[in-house]
Amino acid sequence: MKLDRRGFLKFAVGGAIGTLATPIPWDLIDESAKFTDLWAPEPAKGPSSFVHSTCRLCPGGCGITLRLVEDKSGRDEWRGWHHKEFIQRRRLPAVPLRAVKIAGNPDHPVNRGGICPLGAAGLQLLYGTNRVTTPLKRTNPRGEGEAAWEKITWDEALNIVNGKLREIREAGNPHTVACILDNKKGLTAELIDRFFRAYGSPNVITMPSQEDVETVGLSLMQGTGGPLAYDLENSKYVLSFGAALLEGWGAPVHNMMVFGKWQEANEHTLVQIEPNCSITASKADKWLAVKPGAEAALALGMANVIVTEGLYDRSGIARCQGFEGFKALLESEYNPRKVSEITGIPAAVIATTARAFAVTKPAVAVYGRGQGVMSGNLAEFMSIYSLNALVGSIGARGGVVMQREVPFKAWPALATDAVALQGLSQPRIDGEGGEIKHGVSMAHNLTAALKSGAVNALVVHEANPCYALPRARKFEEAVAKVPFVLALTSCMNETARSADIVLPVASYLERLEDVTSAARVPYASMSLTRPVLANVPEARHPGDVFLTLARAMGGSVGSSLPWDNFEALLKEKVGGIFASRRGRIGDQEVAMLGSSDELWEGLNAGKCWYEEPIFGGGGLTFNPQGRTPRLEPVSWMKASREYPMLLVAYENINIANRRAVDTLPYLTKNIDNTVLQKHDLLVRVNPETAGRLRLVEGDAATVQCPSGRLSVRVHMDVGMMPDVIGIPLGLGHSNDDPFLTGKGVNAYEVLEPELDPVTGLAVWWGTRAKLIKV
Amino acid sequence: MSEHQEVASKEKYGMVIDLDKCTGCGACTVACLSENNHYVREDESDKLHSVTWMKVYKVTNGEPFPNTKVAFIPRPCMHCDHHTPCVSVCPVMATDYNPLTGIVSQIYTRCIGCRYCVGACPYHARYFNWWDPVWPEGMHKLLNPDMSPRMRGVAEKCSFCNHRLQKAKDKAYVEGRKELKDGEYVTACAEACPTRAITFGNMKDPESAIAKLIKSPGAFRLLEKLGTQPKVYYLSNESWIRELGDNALGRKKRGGLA
Amino acid sequence: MDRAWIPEGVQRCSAGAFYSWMALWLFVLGAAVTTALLILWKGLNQTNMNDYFGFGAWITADLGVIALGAGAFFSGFLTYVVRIKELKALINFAVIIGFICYSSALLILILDIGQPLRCWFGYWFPNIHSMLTEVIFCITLYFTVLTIEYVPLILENRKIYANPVAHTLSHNFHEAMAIFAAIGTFLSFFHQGSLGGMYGVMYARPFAFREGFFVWPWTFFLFIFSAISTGPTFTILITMILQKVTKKRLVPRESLSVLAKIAGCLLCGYVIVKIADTYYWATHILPARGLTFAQQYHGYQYGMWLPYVEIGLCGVIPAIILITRRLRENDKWLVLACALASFGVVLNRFIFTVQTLAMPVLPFDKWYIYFPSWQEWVTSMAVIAYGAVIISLSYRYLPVFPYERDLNPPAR
Repeated sequence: MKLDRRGFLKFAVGGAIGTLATPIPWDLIDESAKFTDLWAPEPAKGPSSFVHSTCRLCPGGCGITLRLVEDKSGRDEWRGWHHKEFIQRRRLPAVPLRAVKIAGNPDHPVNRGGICPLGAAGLQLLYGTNRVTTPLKRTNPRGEGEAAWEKITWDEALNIVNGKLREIREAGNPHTVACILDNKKGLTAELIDRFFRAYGSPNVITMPSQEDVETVGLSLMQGTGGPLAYDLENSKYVLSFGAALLEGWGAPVHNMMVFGKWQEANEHTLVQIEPNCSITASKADKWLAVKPGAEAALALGMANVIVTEGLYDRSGIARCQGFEGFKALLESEYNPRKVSEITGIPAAVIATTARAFAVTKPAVAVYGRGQGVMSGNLAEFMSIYSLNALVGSIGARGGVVMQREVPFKAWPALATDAVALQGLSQPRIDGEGGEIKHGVSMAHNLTAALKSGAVNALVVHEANPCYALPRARKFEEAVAKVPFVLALTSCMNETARSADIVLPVASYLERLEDVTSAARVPYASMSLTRPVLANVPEARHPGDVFLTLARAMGGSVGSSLPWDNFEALLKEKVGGIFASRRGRIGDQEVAMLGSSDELWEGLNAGKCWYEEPIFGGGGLTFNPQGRTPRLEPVSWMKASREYPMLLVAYENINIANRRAVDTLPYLTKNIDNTVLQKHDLLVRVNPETAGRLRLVEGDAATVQCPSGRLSVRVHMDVGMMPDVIGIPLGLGHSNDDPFLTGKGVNAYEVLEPELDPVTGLAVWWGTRAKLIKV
Repeated sequence: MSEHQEVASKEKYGMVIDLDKCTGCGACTVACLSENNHYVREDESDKLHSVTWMKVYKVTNGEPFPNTKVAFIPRPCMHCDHHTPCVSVCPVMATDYNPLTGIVSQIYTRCIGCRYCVGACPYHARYFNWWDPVWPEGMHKLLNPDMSPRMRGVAEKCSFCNHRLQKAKDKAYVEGRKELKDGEYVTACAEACPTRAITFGNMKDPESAIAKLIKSPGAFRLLEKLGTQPKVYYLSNESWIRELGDNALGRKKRGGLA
Repeated sequence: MDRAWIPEGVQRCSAGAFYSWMALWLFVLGAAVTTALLILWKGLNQTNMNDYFGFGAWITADLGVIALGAGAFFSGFLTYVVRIKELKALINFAVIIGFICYSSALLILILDIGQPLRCWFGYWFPNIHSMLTEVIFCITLYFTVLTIEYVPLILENRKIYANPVAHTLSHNFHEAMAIFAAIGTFLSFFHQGSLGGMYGVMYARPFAFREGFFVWPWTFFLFIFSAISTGPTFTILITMILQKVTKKRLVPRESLSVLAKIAGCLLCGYVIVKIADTYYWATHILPARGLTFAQQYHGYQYGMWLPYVEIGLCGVIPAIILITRRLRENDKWLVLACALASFGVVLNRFIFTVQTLAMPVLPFDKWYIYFPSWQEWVTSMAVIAYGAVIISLSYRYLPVFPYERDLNPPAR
């Protein structure tokens, strides 16, 4: 057929019109729209269920409720040994599950349904990209560039660890093995401690905490080691000396819940004493902007007012010792005028606050700094704590109480052979105190100890000292000198990257473990974290790891740790609670339960065991060993010409700081852009100070400190005390987490630990600094 | 341009946020992100590109040290009750005001991404998906099956966790009830709040906690002068915080973003 | 070599020169198309728009070109409905400018929406309450009208016209042109208005909100008024530029003067209304919402200079020039006035688009700065290249200017 131009045109036009009459173009348009619906993934549907567990991401120990959904994507996560056992034991349907939500458990006494941002983001730890999925062995020498890893089996890994430990022990040097834990709370930590004692090493050392100085102070003043708790809920007048009550101190959600109740009742007064306008200071009824480091002096000034005006609780004082000496100190050195000079708070304000504190019952003075990681010296603790004795709040409802111990079944006697005894008789590598000897860890001394070659093997369990010890980089360098380093962790962090062997431990959502007594909460409590699912099938319970190692090691170590697995140990321990008949589980008295199994079942259903504190007038010694709290300013608090400013670290509830976990992705949305902008950290400076340095909002600057320099930007904050630089803790990571690494700088690197000569403990929350415009 | 038709309904959901209780911890934001399947980008410090249906504004009274105070204003979608600004402007009816519940929701598969609603909302409660939603390997497991993630190029906003209402109603129906009990349907943010600053419920139920709270003397809404009639109320006894709730002539503007 | 395609009796430059000139513009256009594909592929994260600035350079460009394109419908209205015969000399060119403006607006809109594949939802699920629905319908329909008005001109190309079908078609189109002009006028009135209405109805955005003229947002009328007064100035401006570039007189000066005079009168009216609007806004609308006039301006980018430039420099001054016979008869003054007026209307659209969004309504919020990304610049500026290409082709091959032959008698 011949196709002329006209024919072609006809064909084209006719064809076009004809096509429009067919469904083809319309379907194409429709399909293209349907195609856009696929641009977002559609979550797999499935029936959901709810289980209760406990959060372990901070010392708060909140009850949580997880929402689980049947996982139709059918990955092999249920094939891990961990889970097979779990299924058999729990007789749960063996369907794969995925967790989609963490909410607070309304029945848990600690948080009553509330949750903090970190707790709510917990699933991002479980499913995080930074998880360690198998045991890892380092293939290149430490200290030489980026770590290179080889995946190995658990058997291989444990053989290496066992071999190393055995070798050191057989050489008669068990004390040259050191272990770093975040804290010694809970059975896993106790088990690890027991492992090393049976092995022959006294060197199980915890990361620095404010509780260290409290432990020393309390044992001196009251003959008890704590743990110290505050009955904030019933207190009518709370005098907080820098504790970030609403920003992560103690049990964060519990405190916030109490604060919510205070706001409703409108009969509680919160006075916040700290240099800068924190959230707690803003939310308090009164904020006293004290000069940094002068909090304790203010406490003594208030004590002076209470004593000289005779407002103290006479019956309470009758139970105390050393009051006269204390009174003499107050009268000679801490009259309001002098205290006003030291603290910058007008004498009249000191007096009125002191009077209100003394006459309002019950009242409590809270010692603290930030969330409780940074510590001060003993005299500070004693000064502030003494206020409680003056107003009769020691052991009183609405005052301070000692948390009762959870009545777990006692550990059997430790089996120690000659090697163990010999090792345990050696001094601890971190020292035993200052003028006063005490058993509290002094992790700040580890850098020197590691450098000296006193450590042949270092075990780090769920802690990140290479990031979070003061002068972190120095510690990291020292770690490179240790012949063998083992890290147990669920996520790759700075310390694990410095290790020879990394063992993947199950996250808190994947393991059965006790969470005992939320920090600072007046009642004792215990609930369980439960192995809800196993996202990393290879990850093991750290308790099981050490029990396996103990079995392999045999001898006194093996016989000291005879349990098959952690669950068996935990169940046996829980038997002690039943035997004690103490406390309640949920709404039931333990005394009313028929068997230990009933208690065990209850705990495994996510219920919480708790026990009210015993209130009763207590006393203390104001001047133990003849020491009145004499406040000596820390050297870096004194102004110098070279470093005219003071750098003070602060904590932010959305930036995980030295806890079991780093800042999770969801939380990065909560970090204000006045704190972090792209990769730059912003320090907070008073606009007046900034103006003097010709700095404006967002300017790049260098913080020069005696121990190093940090590149930052400046955020002008009217709430900052002039000449003070505020820097957040918890940023500047160099792990593999794409959401976190390389963002901001690590303030721990420049913080200067100054040793309190009395206790030998580090005082570290700031350092001298100079801010230089770049 | 008429008002929404008043339908004989026993439900109208709203929220009360007690700003004196709020400590700005951001648990509400995270609970919302988790409940509503938000993805997170590696850098979220550019807040004008960071989707947070529940955004917590940090504000200050503007006073110099040491009289400075900060407060927090959590800002979900206001679910405006009068001539909802974002609903009337949408050219393709992708935004819907439900006359039975008062809830304003977005139909993601309908939205063409013109962003007229983003411009019309004075509360900045509307967000646009500038990027493809991406979850790191394995992280998609935490997606809530009740909520569709949003594709690139569409607008989105707080829905008062609308899907939870459906679940609560299903449950009530199974139990043979026609009406929900107070507290049976709450948003993820209200559920999470550690200080219990957020109260959510049916404003038309006179017995509900929210119906009582909105009559409190310290109650106010954001930008009341515009006449949007938000269904989110705020409480505060602090006058400087209440003053930040609306523009007022002749007031020296002191407070603002911290 | 393309002689046969060039209209009879007119002088055009050599094919070589022409195609070199075209290559330049096509290169720019190619870059813009590449950028557009990048945006379509990667999404709107390629722009500097964000959740505060949901609208930016593109919406400004859209509204700007649509306002400037109003010269087409308004000249059509004056030519075919009011029957001002002087404008016959200009009407073809006015239609081409309108066509360029509207087609580029549509192209930019496709880029601007987050879901281009769903663009047809506007017709399928229309929300009759939305001003934007009115805009979508009117713009596409009017673009169809413009195409219908442009097609006969294409058919009049010497070669195409030789075809009897094209010939008949073209003839019939011409017969119906008055009807299309009337339809175009109607549609244009509505969408110019509804574009303004889009802002005026945003009652929660006090910077833009202007309601209360019966049931209408009065930005509806302000936008129509500004478009019909500045659209013709843009037509004049482009004609003058074309005359400069071709070094030829293409339309009788009288035609330009007539249009300039009409535009001048309208501009006078518009400026008065706009000043009244600003006064009422400052003294009634804003205070009722607890806001002051001064609070609406901030810093340099959003400073108080904007209304002075927009209404004073680009409104009052060109209006005076255009209604002053002596000045408008002077080419330089005429170009200046037209350029100012055209810039003024784009500035007006920018202010309504960007400043409306920048002005913090929440009392505790702050001003944010928006500056378009290079991708937004390139694609917006491509309108110029696109216009140059269409105008160049039309001028070379189509009998755009009916009086060109008379005004430029062939040199002997």
